[in-house]
Formats: sequence, C-alpha cells, structure tokens
Amino acid sequence: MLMPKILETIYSISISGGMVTLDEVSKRLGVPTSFLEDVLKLAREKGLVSSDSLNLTDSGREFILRYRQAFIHDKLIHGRHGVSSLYSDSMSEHLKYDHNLSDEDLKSLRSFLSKFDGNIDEAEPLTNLRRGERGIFIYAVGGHGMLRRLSDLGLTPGIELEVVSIASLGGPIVVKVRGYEIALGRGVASRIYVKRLR
Amino acid sequence: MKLIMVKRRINIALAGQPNVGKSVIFNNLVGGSQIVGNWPGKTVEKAEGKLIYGDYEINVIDLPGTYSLSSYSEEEVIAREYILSRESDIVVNVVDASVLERNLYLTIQLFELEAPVIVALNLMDVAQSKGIRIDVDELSRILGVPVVPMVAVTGRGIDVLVKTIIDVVEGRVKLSPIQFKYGKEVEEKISTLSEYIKRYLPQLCSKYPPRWLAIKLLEGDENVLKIVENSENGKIITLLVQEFVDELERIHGENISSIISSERYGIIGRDILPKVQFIEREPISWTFSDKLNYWTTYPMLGYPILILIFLTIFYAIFTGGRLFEEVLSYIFDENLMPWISGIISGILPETLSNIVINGFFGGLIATLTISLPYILPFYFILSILEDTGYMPRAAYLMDAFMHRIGLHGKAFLPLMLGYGCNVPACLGCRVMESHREKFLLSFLVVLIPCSARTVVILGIVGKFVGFIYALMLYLINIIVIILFGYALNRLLPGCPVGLIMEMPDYRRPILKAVLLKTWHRVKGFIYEASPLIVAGSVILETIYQLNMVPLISHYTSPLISGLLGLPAVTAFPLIFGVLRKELALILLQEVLGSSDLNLVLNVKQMLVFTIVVMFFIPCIATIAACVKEEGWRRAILISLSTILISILAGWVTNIVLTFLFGL
Repeated sequence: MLMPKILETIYSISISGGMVTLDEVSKRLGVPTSFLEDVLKLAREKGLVSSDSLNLTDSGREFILRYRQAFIHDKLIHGRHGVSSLYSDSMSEHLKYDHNLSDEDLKSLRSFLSKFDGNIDEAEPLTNLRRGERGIFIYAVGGHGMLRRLSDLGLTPGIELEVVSIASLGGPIVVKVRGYEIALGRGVASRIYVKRLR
Repeated sequence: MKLIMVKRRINIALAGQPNVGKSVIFNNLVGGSQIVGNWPGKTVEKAEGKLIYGDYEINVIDLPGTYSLSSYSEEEVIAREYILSRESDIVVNVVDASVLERNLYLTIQLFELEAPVIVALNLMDVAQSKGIRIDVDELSRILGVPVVPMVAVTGRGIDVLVKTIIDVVEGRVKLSPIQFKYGKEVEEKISTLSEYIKRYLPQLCSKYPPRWLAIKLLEGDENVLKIVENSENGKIITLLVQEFVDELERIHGENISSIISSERYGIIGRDILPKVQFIEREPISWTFSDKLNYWTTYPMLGYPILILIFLTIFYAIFTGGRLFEEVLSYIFDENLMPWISGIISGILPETLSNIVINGFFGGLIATLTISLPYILPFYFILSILEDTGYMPRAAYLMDAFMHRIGLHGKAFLPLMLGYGCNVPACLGCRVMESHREKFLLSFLVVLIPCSARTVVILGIVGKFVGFIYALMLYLINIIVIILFGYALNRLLPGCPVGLIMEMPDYRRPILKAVLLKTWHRVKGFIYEASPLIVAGSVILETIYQLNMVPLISHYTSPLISGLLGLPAVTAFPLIFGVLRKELALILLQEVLGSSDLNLVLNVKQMLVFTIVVMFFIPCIATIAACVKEEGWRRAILISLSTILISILAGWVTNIVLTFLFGL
C-alpha cells in the first residue's frame, strides 16, 4: 500500500539531484518515518529499493515508469473523466509534479485527446434525445457536486432513462429514471452522455 | 399523598428524503407544540416539538429532507451531524413506499452512520394505487429493524409508530441492523481503510464510526476529508484513499462517486427489492396527478397557468395584506397608540417619552402592522405551493430565464414576490440549495422595487415628471439587476449549480398541516425580526429627538449635494426611509416644505432622488429577514452594497442628465 506513491517520491527527489533521505520523503508526503520504514521493508523484499541505500533499483525504476503509463492510460484515455478533466488545476498539478510532465506535454496531450471528446463509446449528450426517446446513462462530465447529486438521485452508469418532456426556450429536460422524474437544466443535460436506444 | 410521576424522556429525529410526507408525520406526532426556528448558526429551518404519551415525553426533531447524507448541501450536513451527535434515541426514517428504491438509498446511509433506525413506511396508499405491493415483514426481516406501514395523511400507523418507538427504547424490541456489503473490490478497500483508520486515527473513532469514515473518504466527501487531513497521521489515510480511488476508478472505469452510488443501488436492487416489492398490476396510467403534471408543464398551457397562479398569489398577498394592514393599524395605531402615549407621556420627560413611544412601541407595532399582513398570506401560500408540488413545475418553466442571471428556475418565486414586498421575498430565498445561490438571490431580491418603493416612484416621478419616466425607471432597475446578477455570478467563488431537481407527483395539501406550518413560521419570524425592527426604530427616533439630523445632513452633504446634486436636507428622508420606504416620500415633502415638488426640485433632482430610493438600503424589516436567512455578516454586506449601488446609480444619472440632456 502506498508503495507507488513512495517510490515515485524517491524517484522525483533523486532525478532532481536531491539527497534522498527518510526525512525528506516523510516531509514531502507528510507521512511519519515509522510508516515509511514499514513500506520500504516491503519494497526491499521485492527488490525495488536497494538494500543498503534509499535508491531505486533498476526494477524499481521500471516499476515507476509502468505505473505512470498505466496512470495516464487509465485515467485519461479509458477513464470516464473526459478531456475536460485535463484542464482542471488539480489534474494538471498532478501530472506536472507527480509524473514530471512538462507544460508542452500537457498541451499536446490535450489537443490529441480533444479529438475524442464526446465520441467515446458512441455516447452522445442527453440534449440530442427527443421527447419519448430512451437511452442508457454512460457518464457525466462535471464538478464533484454535480456528479454526486446525479448519482444520489439514481442516475448511475448503466441505468436506463426516458426523456419525458423538454421545456421550450432552452429550458430543462425531464427524464424518467427508476420510476420517478427528474428535471435537469439544459447545461447539466448537455454534460450527461447517453447511448441512445432504438 | 400525591406522587409526582417523572415522565421518561425520549428524543427522536425524523429523517427522510424530500416529499415523503415527513412533515405530515411530524405534525401528527407533535400537533401544536412545535417550535420553528433555524439550526444554530445556519439558515436551514429547524422544527421541533413534544408529544406526551402515557409515561413518556417524546421530543421530536424534524431533520431537513435530503436525498443523501453527503456534503452536497447544508441540509445534508446538518442532518448527518445531528445523527452523529447521538442526541436522539431513535432515528425514524420516513420512507416513500411508492419510490422505495431511491428512498432505501438514504436508509443504507443511515445504517452506515450506525444510527438506531426505525423505518416508517409512508404513502402505502400511493404505492397501492401504483400497483405496488410491499412485503413489510420481509423488509423488516432483511433490514433487521422494525418497519411500520403508514398513511400519514389519514393518521394510519401513527399510533403503532409511537408504540414501536417506546418498545425499542424499553428494550422490548431489539434493533439488529444489517451491515450492507458492497461489491468485492469496494468492500475490500472499505475494510482495509477502516482498519487503518482505527490504527492511525483512534481519536476520530470515538466520534465517527470508522467504517462510515472509510466510505465517506472513498466517496471524496470534502468535510470528512478536511477533518482527516487536520488530524495527526491523517496524511497516511488521505494518501491511501487517493491510491484506492485511483485503483477503483481504473477497475470500474467510472468516477468514484458513481461507483459508490451504483454499489448502493446495487445492494438495493439485488438484496432487497426483489424480495419485498411486487408489481401486482400496471399502474393507473393517466391519474389526476399525471393530468395536472401535463397541463402545468406543457408550454402552451404551462406558461398561462404559471402567470395566472402568480398573479393570483400577488393579488391575494397584497390586497389581502392591505386589508389586513388597515384592520391592524386601526386597532394599534388609532386606538392602542394614543392610549399608550397618554400613559407614557405622563410619567417620562418629553424627549424620552417620544423615544419610548415612537421608537419602541412604534417599532413594535410596525412589526405587527407592516410585516404581519404580508408575511402571513405569503407563508400560507408558500406552504400550499410546497405541499402540492407546484414549485418544481414553476421552476421547470422558468429555468431558462433564470439562467441568464446565474440562477436556476427555483429563484423565480422570490424574485416575483420582491415586487410586492422584499420581506417575504428574502424569506423565500431558502428554496435555493447552495450558499452561493442563496446569497446571490437575496442580493438581487433587495434591489427589486417593492410596493412601498412603487409609491415613491409613482408619487414623485409618475406624478411630477411623467408616467412614462416612471416605467423607464422600472426598466433601468431590471437592467441593473440583470447586470448585477451577471457580475456577481462571475465574482462569487464556486460554480453556478445547474438545475437537478426531482419532479414529485402532485399531492393534495392538508389544510391543517398548511395552517400549522404557516402559523409556526410567522411566529418564528416575529420572534426573530421584531427585536431588530424595534432596535432600529429606537435608534432612528433617538437621532431625531436629539436633533442630530442637521449634523448628519452636514456630514453627508458632500455626497448628497456634491455627487448627487440634491439639496442637503434630502439626507433626512433617505435615512428615515429605512424604517419604511414610503416615508421617503412623506418626509421629502416635509423637509422641503411643500407637497408640490415642482416648486422645490427640478426634474433631474426628482429622477436622481427616486433612483437612489429605488436601490437604497432595504427597510429594517427586510434587513431583519435577510439576517434571519443569511446571517449578520452577509446581511450587513448586502445592505452596505445597496448603499453603494444607489449612490453610484444616482451619480451616473446625475452626470448623464446634466451632460447629455443638459438638465
């Protein structure tokens, strides 16, 4: 547990030319050294950290690189976060500092992924559906509060919904889900992606 | 010898989702004994009451209705903090039998809080009309807690509920709530995390169940995350959470809040519903509620109905209110006041007696004669709108318009009401969910010219400049509100929350419940607002009696005459208009010594003065309502900002009229 995180920190300290000490790692992660020692013991058993110093072994470095690739792959390409999450501060910070991605890398990643926005898994925004049409809720793009509220009200991935009515003048859309009706503002509805059922 | 029986006290809390008939059960339990106020330091309504039953005194707290117990809204935080405080012996979870699936979503979370839960399965009649049969005994067996079937509107099940509560408290019925198990991967993470929490954060475990903390951390609950971050060794846990969340999101390919919610709905759909809920027949497809729903949301009919309803409300509140006001002012102003002043001026010296009579008693009576006539019908109508389910329909129709000013459909009612009186409009701001939106809306509401300001607008500009100019002022006002809403929406931190709102079925309102709710809300308002109105009125009367008005005019004259180009004495009607807005007109005529304003003011000055009054600091009753809804700091901020806006608007008008039109 927390192994990748700790190895990652050791790695970033060492490539930035700093001295890797237990105190430094503990300071960066905000975790007591006693806890670090337990994890490091495990890492040494697996041969990821050399037995006499705090340096990563070759397989330790390989572990980190694989971990980073997996992260970017899962989080951005197969994940349901959508490209918009790349623009969030927390994600940018995360990529820049934890994975040593440069601003340039981020920019090209964004432009590459933007081609796929909205097309993942043939999903289309809920606003495309007409009155009476049905669809499967795939994912939603939005802030934590909005996602929380949607799933609390029963709009969870895989659930079937039906458009009951659409207000005129860009007003809300009412959907029926799990036997009750929910009104969604047009802005919210445009960020909900569904697979249309025919 | 007489024995004094000491009644055994039981504390219970009612928890449930919105529109499940929770308040009907509450009213049935406690009747007239309830007190309605706010949660301490919060702007959320708190209702509590008492029920004497045999040897027991049962205190009932009605928790805010919430769909979940995350930290999405203030209501959710209040509900869960109260349950965690362990002040209640029993938490009665009111459940809508006709929407069992979504209601059990909250039940699961109450179980996770390790609350002593009893389920009140309400609206059994509605479920039946939808063709749903529920095996109550089986539900109770699965959950491990008593389930009481109820039809609260007819009182069915209330007695059984009370008996069950007592049985549980006396230990005759044991609660053995089931611990819900999540899917394998999530469950693994939850148990590992709770082990770590027990080991590294023992200090938190005395207050919060570790398993609940683990679930909330995984869900990304901001409040819990903050608590853990601020604890010693909290960092270990938060890093661990991050790792687990990444892993779960990788496995499921979904965001974490969807994963946890899906799992909860999964538990309900897999382990509970198939065993307890049976669809006996197709629901009656075109019920009266469905018809009403269709008529009130179909645009061609919906908008005319909306306009009709709001015009009626407007008419009812303000003509009914005016009638009521006249009756009250006949009783108080014309009969009681002379009697009181007769007594007081006999004992006290003149200055002091004027302060007591006009300031203290005047303020007290003003609370009754000005606020009460409008607040009473407002609360009555609000309660009906809430209980029938029309509010969501109005919000649905108006959402697109409200978005232009960074709000959503629910803001429509308070904004409309503002044209009548800002006080009920301010009180109505509570329909918004987030802090941000409540604040934004209260800000806009106080800028709306109420009927008293209309008197000033028509009495000055309408009468002496021209009716068309008065209408233009309204137009300017609307433009300023839109611009201001737009700017505030940009400036305030956080994002505008889009509309995500349940459209509940229409229900017939219960008159008794509506009347009780109205009465207790009015009582609550008077208790909270009258001290403030009285204090404000005493201060202003003191200023007047001590002859400080010329002094104030002297200091404000650079502003009033310099910037606005008005006679310095107009500071007096502006300041005293805070008591009640129409005073601005009466006092203006008084200080200028003529009721024919044409003789004493030019057209430009009249326009500037009216614009300043239109945006100027709201009246004391409105400020009081604002304090009640928003708290002191925000109420003061809003009031001060309106002063700034009004002076700015007056100044701009002055410049434009002088330089562009050469007035």
